[in-house]
Amino acid sequence: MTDQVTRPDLAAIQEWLLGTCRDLGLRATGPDDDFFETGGTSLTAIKLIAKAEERYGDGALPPDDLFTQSSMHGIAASIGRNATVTGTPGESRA
Amino acid sequence: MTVTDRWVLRLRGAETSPRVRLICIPYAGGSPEAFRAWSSGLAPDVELLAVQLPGRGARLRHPLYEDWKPLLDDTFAALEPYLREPHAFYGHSFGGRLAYELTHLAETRFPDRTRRLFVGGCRSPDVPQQTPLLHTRTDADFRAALEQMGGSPAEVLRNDLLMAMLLPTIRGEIRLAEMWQDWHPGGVLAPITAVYGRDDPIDSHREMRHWPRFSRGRGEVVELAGGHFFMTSHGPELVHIINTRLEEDDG
Repeated sequence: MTDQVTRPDLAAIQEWLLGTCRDLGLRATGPDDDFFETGGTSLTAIKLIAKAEERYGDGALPPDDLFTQSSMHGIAASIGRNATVTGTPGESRA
Repeated sequence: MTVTDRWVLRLRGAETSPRVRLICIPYAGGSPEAFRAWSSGLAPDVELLAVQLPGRGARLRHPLYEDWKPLLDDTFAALEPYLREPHAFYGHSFGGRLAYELTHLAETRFPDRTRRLFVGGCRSPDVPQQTPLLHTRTDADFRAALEQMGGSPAEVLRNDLLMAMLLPTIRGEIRLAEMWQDWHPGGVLAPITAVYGRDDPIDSHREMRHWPRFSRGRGEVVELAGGHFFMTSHGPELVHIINTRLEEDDG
């Protein structure tokens, strides 16, 4: 492996995101669903940002991105750009 | 997605053809999602809609309103497709003021379609705004006051990144709420149900008891337990009041 950060796979992020949003009580089922139109609020936004950072590293989901590109694919793309860890279970930041 | 889709959320359709459409308007900075909890308690033939103003959720970056006139014109335009059939408004606090103004417009444009106006936690137009005003305070004081009011979770109010995005919206709508006065020579035709929280430090019985004067129909003032945000803390009780009144209006 090089010292370059391996970007996590978008499809994997998308899948993680939909599952996490459902755990937060949202009704999102597909990439076109909007975070705020499927039940997202300021409070769920904070929770999602915290979970994204836990999994994909600090700053993985900037709040500004979440509010301005709030579809599931928009959010997944933001995490893809900003992730500092791949988020694969069992893999570390190294 | 059309403009109307972003402005108006349909939180719940009616099971049959809707008898009446309940259009809800949240408090300053509030999310239309605040009304979703009402879905299960409302009578099945009531359709539940909520207004999403700019500056929150997917509309975070849409320009905020600094004056009542454009706010009213644009909100009314977004709601127009929904006002041709029987409807009622519920507005809470800042949303109550907006609901009263929208009722005036709706009655001019679509006569006899507004079945009732519900206002919650909102002074009547003739009662002067409490001072000192909130909207002129510094950010730190303003946030402390919001936390004391109890409408938003402390987790949200203490998050600096999130507050940097949301505070202009909340402050802007509280400013409009504080500037609002009695601008109409007569009241609305629709009956008014004014609901206050017994322990509301902002707009309780004293500030809400004159609401019946602002309806040329019938008016009533109803007490619920709870503070300024009784619509959240005592949702089922409030929904019960709404159900019984909408049923009476139909009879």
